[in-house]
Amino acid sequence: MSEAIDKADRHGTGATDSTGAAARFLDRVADRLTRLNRIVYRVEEACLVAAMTVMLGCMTLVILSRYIRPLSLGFLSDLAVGLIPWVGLLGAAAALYRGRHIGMTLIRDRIPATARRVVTAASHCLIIAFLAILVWAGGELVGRQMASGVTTSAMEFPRYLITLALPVGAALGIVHMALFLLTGPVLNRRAGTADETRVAQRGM
Amino acid sequence: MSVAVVLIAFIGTIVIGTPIAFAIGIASVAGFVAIDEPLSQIGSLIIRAMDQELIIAIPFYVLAGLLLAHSRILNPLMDLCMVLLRRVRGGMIGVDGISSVMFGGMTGSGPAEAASLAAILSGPMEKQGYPRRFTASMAAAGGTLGLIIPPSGGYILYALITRDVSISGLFIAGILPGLLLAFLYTAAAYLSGVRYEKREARAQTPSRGEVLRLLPGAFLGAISPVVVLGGIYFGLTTVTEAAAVAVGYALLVGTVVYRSIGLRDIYRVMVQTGIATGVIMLVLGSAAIFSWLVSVSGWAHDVSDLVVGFAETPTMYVVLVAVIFLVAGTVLDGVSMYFILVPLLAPGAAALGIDPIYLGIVITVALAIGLITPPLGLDLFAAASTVGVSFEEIARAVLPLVLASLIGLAIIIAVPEISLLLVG
Repeated sequence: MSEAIDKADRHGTGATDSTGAAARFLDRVADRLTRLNRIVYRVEEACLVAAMTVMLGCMTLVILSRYIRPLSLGFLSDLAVGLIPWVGLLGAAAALYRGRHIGMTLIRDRIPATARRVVTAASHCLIIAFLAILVWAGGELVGRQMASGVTTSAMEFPRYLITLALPVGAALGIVHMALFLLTGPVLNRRAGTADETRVAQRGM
Repeated sequence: MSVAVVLIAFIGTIVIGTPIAFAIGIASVAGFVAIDEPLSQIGSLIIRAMDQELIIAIPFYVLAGLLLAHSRILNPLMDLCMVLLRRVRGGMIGVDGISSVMFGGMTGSGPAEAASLAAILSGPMEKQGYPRRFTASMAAAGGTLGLIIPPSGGYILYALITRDVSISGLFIAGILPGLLLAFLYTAAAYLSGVRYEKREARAQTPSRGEVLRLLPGAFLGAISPVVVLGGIYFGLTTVTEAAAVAVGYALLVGTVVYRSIGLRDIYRVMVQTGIATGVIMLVLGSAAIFSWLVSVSGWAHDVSDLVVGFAETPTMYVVLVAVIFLVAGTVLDGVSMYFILVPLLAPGAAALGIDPIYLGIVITVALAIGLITPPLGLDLFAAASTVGVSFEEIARAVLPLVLASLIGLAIIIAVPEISLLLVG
C-alpha cells in the first residue's frame, strides 16, 4: 500500500515538475518576447525624435532664410513634408505599443473575462489583417515607384523613400500586435506587477 | 448592399473594442471588397493623404503646447490673476476662465488642455473650498477651448478635408466663438459653484509690490498666444511656419528663461508628440480610404440629398449638422468624426451656399462639446484622472457647463457674424 502511495506521489511530483518546467519555459519565452517588443518600441521612439528634430530644423531654416538672408531652401520644406508619413506611421506603431489608439471598450469591459479575452484576441487579429493589407499595398506602391524612378518636386529624391514609411510602419505595428497576442496568455496567468498587468491587458 | 457591409463591419469592430482608426480602415476594406475595387490602391490613398505640408502644423502645435505647459510659462500670469482677484467673490472661477483662454491660445488639443488645467488649478481651488469634482468639471470644459481657440488641430483637419478653406481664416474665425464660450463657461461655473467658496479663504487686498513682482513673468505668459498666432494674423507666416515659431518660442522660454525644461524633457515630449501625431495620422490614412469609397460609391450625394431634404434653409442645415455632430460626439472621437462626417455633409452645405468657415466653426464647437459629453467625453476622462475623481462624479458636475456650451453653440449658429467678423 505504502509502495503504491510512494509511486503515486513520485508520479504526481513528476507531473507537477514537468508542468512547472513548462510554465517556467513559457515565462522565459514571454519575458524575452516582451523585452523584444520594448526594444522595437524604443527604436521607434528614437526614430520619431530624430525625424521630428530634422523636420523642425528644416522649417526653422526655411523661415530664417526668408527674413535673414534670402536663399532658395525649398528643398528643406520638401524634406520636412517627406518626413511626415514617417512620423505618422512610426507614431501609429508606437501608439499601438502604448495602447494609445482611441477605441470604445465600454461594451467589451462588461462581458465575462474569458469572453473578453476571446473578443480582444479577435480584435487584435483584425488589426493584424488590416496592417498586413497595408504592408502589401504599400510594398506594391514602393515597387512601382522604384521601377518608374519618380522623384519629389523640389529636392528630387526618390518618392519610394517616403512611401516606404507605410509598409515599414504597418510591419512594426504587426510585430507589436503579434507579440502581444503571443505573450498575452502567459502575462495574464501571472499578472502580478502593475506593468505586466498593463501589458497583459493590451495583449489579450 | 455595400453600405450594409461597411456599417456592419464598422459597428462590429467598434463593439469588440477595436480602435476607431482601425475600425474605419477595416470597414473601408470590406467596402472595397463589396464593390469589387482593387485593394492595391489603398497604399497610394494613404500616402497621398499624409504627404501634405499643412500636416506638419499638427505635430508642431502639439509639441509647442506640451513644451509651453512643461515650461510653466502661464504660472506667473495665473499667480497674478489669483492675487488680483483674491478679494473678489468667486475669484478663482475667474482665474480658471482666464487660464482656459490662455491655454487655448497655446495648445491645439482638448484633453491635453483639460489635464494641464486640472493639474494646475486643483490645489488652489481646493484650498478655497471648491470640491474636486467641480474643479475637474471646469478643467474639462476649459479643455474644449483648446479645440476652439486657435491654434486648433481641429481647424487644421477641417481645412485638410475640405481643401478649399483657408486655414488662417479658420484660425482667426475661432477667436470670438472661443471667447464667447469661455465667458459662458465662467458664468455657468460661477452660478453653479460659487456657493462652495469658503469666505475665510479670501485674503487681503494685494499690495503694489506683490503685483509688480509678478508682472514681468505674467507678461511673458500673456504674449505667448500673440507669438503663436501673431504671424498668421499679420500675414507674416503660414500656419505651418507659425507652428514652427511656436515650438521655437516654447523651447526658448522653457530652456533659457525659466530653465524648467531639460534635454530629457524635450525627448519625452517629442515622443509624446510623435505618438499623438501617429494616432491622428492613422485616422487620417484610414479615413482617406473611407473618403475615396464614399466618393466612388456616391454616398456623399445620397447623404447630402437626405439632409438637404430635411433642412430646407441654410440655418436649418447648419442646425442639423450640429445635432449630428453632437450625437456622434457622444460615442466617436473628434478626429474620426471630422474624417467620417465632413466629407458626407460638406457638399450639401456648399450646395446651400453656407460659408465653409462658418460651418467649420460650428462643427468644431459641436465636436468640442462632445469632449465633455458622456459616455466618451475625452476631456472628462483627462480631467477626472488628473484630479482623482470618478467619471460619474465629473459627469454630473459638468452638466451646467454642458448646458452653457449648448447655449453658446446656439448663439454661434444664430449669429454667423461671431465667426466671420474678424475674417473680413
